[in-house]
Amino acid sequence: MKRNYRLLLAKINYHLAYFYQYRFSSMVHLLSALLWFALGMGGIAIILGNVSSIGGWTPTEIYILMLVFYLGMAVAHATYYNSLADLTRKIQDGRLDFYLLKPVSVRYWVSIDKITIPQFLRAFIVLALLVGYCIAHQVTISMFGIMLAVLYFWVGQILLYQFFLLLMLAAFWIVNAWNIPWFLDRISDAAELPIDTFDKKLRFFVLYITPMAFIAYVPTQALLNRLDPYLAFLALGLIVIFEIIISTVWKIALRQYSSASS
Amino acid sequence: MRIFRAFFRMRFLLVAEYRMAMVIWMVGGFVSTLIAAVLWLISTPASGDLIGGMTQHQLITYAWLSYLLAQLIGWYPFYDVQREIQEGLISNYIIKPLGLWARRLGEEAAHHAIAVLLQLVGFVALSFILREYLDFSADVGILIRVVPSLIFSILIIFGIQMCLGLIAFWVTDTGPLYALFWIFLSLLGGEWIPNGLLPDIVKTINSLMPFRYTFGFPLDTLLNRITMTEWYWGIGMQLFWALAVFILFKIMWAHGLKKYSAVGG
Repeated sequence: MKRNYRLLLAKINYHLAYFYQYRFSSMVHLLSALLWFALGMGGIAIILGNVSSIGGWTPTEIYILMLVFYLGMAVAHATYYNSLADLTRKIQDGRLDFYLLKPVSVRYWVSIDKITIPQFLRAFIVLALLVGYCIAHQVTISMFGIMLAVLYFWVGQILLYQFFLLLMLAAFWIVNAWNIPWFLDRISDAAELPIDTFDKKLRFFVLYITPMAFIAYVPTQALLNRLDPYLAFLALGLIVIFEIIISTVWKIALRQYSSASS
Repeated sequence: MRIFRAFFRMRFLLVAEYRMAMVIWMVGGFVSTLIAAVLWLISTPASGDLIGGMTQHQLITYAWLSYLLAQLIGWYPFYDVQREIQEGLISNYIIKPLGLWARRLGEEAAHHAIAVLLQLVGFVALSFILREYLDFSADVGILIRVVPSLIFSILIIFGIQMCLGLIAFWVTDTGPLYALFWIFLSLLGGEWIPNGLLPDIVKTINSLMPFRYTFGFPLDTLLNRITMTEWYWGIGMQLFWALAVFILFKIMWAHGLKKYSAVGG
């Protein structure tokens, strides 16, 4: 545990040094990420310009949901998203060999490989916008609601990480599966919507098959003091189930992995 | 034309070999369209009231057709062009009589020939799932009008993407410019948000910009939501923008080659 922590710190230091070394390029990437964020918010603003609510959610609630979603995606991109997205290439060109040789958990090492500092800045900006928006619109939020939202925000992140890793493991079997991250992005579009308005089949899909409901919907519900206790417990149960599935698939995948180079 | 055919054949075989990536595109687009349909279902009244001049069923039909057109029109050679310039791969081609435009057009055509076939599978599945909400009928006249609008849409998107890719001759990091293009395309292009939903002032400005004539114009033609006069205006604008981006490409290519220097080779 201590060694993993030290490794994480070393990775962060390395990426901070990289960020300072290539600061112009890094800032350009931050700008790029903020433009994508602006696109998402602009799209929903256009729709809200034509309708009074979405699935019974007021525009204020929808904007909070969207901001929580973008915060979640920024945290994912800052920490594990780019590392996992690179797994396909590592498998294809045989670079995974170098990770297998290290005396560390391979899964941990490939998950923190590409920490993206500009995305941390994006996360701070979105967080500031979320806080500012709630204050400006005088949204009633209790301290308990904030604590619960923070807790379930991280639960959502764990579930998103697990789901993404599970998708990326397909790269062990599929050659040229470089667009799996794009696929995740498409599925995660569902996380931007109020999931309580979905019909049964779709709700099942975003709750049990893909954990999209937990990225933004559950933390937002917690923030607005209306979290369904069933979802709160379901999230914890899903983490255990996903972990069992990933551990099994990961072992099978590594067993049948044959190096592409070296 | 021979260059186009040769690269079409090569890319076709390559894409057919690694078809799983295509399946992922197809399924991802399928899920995205379903989510868009859900968005319209939960945000618009089922009573038949108009939102941006469209009923709930028309909005869902719009998303359904947009899924089909996404692979038909969405020719995006940006990354390949940019990578060839940045990594010096373009050196292999500039010493041969292979025009970049024809070569990329051939490769993209092959890619989309397979993609569209796969997309049809998803389209049929979507048609079944969304059958209660679809409001679509097209006569021969509409289909005849759609064909040129689709061809020009492809040329406009392809041309803009080629020009964006060529920016790599001058700029190391083209990411933000590309993001900016996507923002405009997504908000104004009409793939996700119908033109009718845009504020009036934006609609007016958009009618002069190329984005309107990418996804929105052929979709509106297919849904018979524009008059003949608007269609003639639209086709005229499409022709103008297709020529404009082609000329811009030629100018950028000529200047870019003078600026280009490769390492290794």
